[in-house]
Amino acid sequence: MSAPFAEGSGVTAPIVSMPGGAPAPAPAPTLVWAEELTKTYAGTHRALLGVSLQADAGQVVGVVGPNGAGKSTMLKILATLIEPTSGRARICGSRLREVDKVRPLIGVSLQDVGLDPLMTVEEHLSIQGSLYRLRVAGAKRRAAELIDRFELGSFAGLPAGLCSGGIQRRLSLALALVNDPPVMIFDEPTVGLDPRSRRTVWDTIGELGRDGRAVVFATQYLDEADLLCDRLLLIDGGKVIASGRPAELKAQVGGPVVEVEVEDGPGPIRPLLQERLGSDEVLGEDGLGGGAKIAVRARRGAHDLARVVHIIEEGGWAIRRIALKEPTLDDVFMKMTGKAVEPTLGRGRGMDLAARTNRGGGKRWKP
Amino acid sequence: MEALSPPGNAVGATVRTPVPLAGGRYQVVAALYRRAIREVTRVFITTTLVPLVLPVFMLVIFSRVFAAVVTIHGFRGSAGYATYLVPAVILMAVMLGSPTAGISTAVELQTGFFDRVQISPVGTAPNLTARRLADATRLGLFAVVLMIVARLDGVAVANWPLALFLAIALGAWWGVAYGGIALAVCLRSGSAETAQALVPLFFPILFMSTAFMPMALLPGWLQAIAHVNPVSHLCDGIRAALAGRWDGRALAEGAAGTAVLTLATQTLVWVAQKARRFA
Repeated sequence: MSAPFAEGSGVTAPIVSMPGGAPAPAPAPTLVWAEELTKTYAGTHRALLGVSLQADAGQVVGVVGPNGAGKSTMLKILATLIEPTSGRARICGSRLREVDKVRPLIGVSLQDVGLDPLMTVEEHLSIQGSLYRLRVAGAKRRAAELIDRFELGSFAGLPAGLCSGGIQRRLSLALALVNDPPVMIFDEPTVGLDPRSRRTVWDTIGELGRDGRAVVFATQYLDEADLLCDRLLLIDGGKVIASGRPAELKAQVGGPVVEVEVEDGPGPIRPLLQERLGSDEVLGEDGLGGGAKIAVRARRGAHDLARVVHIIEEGGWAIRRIALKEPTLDDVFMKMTGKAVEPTLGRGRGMDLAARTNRGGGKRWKP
Repeated sequence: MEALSPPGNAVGATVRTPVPLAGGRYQVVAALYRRAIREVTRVFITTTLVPLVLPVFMLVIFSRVFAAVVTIHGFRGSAGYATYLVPAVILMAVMLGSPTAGISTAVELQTGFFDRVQISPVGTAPNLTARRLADATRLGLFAVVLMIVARLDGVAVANWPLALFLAIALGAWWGVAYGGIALAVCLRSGSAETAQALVPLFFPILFMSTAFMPMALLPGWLQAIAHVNPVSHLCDGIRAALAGRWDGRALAEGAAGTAVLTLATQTLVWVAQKARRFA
């Protein structure tokens, strides 16, 4: 649990005492705090229904859910782009409405990369520095640092519209870091990226967390949420369906299981396994064409797997395929909602020069 | 669900502090102005050349086709129809080129760049100011180009410094004020097409003024409109300067009308901008 700050305007570190008077390391302060946020668009469409969230310094918090779950709405509220219909939220202790205090404290990369296709990579970083009121020399120095950090040197003079989706996304992340903020907000930072670019983005998010920042990011990819996040919010239909550490959430759906497919054998396999392992240990059976597929609890992991193999072979069945399966966040989501998260594949949110020069486009979703 | 603890008001000492805001707001506007000018040069054809095609055509061809109109009684004393048309084509050019700030803003809304600016500490106001200043620069350049074309076409200018100054200043001011309509519409709708759809509006504004015909030759009902149309007074003021005269009354009336338009369109922009602000 994080340490609450003392009320006041000064810079205050939480003080914690240990028995015997020795000071304990101060717990990480809460940098992002939101309570019961709701958002209703056009008076009828309820995008968020009472979502609460907390991110401490050094924590990566994932907001995970399928398309239309309310992830982007949540992040746009935290980024001070749209107002919540109700609820409270604070960034580093400041209320969201205090935008002059909050905006210098956050670095944001939204789903739309937000780049001007005619501006070069270097110009973007320089302009971003100006938007954060860095002096000209300071903005140039910072731009050079970020170009180096995000390996954008080969693209520095290239218009953003001519860069690949991966480079655009890297630039978008670099722009979010121009003012070196303590809070980072990323909306689907890896959507539409190739595996190598995804890996780069993951590394960056991990580094930012280790760097002592609070990172809140939305994703529809449960694997990357599992890999990167210290804490997760699974949301669906604008509501939080589960929250906690990834391991805690996975524990809610049970431990590892052995999944085994067998060829046709001397009879039904389920009674045999129930007899030898106990009826509670056998989770289900699916008939397969010319065989069966069955799942068995494996609390002792590989030991239980070996035991299942032994029982099946001893009974006279031939194993077609066997695997020890750890529970995943997909299982958690499936258990909570009865449906799987189905990510949108390859949907890049970049832009190209044509989009800029045609200067057309549809109506914007009005905040 | 986990219990969440509400934090207090301070940023802890263990929390990294962001880079302090050091530069002044004028530096932000200057940087964004340079960006807007760079953008103009990168889409030079659409933002600068295309809006000049019709005015140059009017100045060179239209003035010859209708050259004989100066022999009509109401034109008595005019130096020629091309000279008469110079202020009209300058105002036509600035109106044709005025939607650029609006169109660029619509594109920024579509690409998400507008959001990026909006959530920065300076907000959207410096960007909109910079875009309008860049428009003023470009539209002032239109006046210079058309004055040069007019001179090459044989138009006699009695007082170059005065005529050029008034053409640039009044042309750019009128263009930026008029461009506020497109900017407000684009901010509200996020659609560049809406701004482009407004472009033909310049026709009635010019034709219901003394831009192409002197007041005496306009029908009575049109004279009433032309009297209150700032374009009439701007044209008369610039026309007098071309002839080497200072028409204080026309210039004052033209400036007053332009100021009213500026106030009206700036209010529209402000309202549209406010609708997009978080707080």
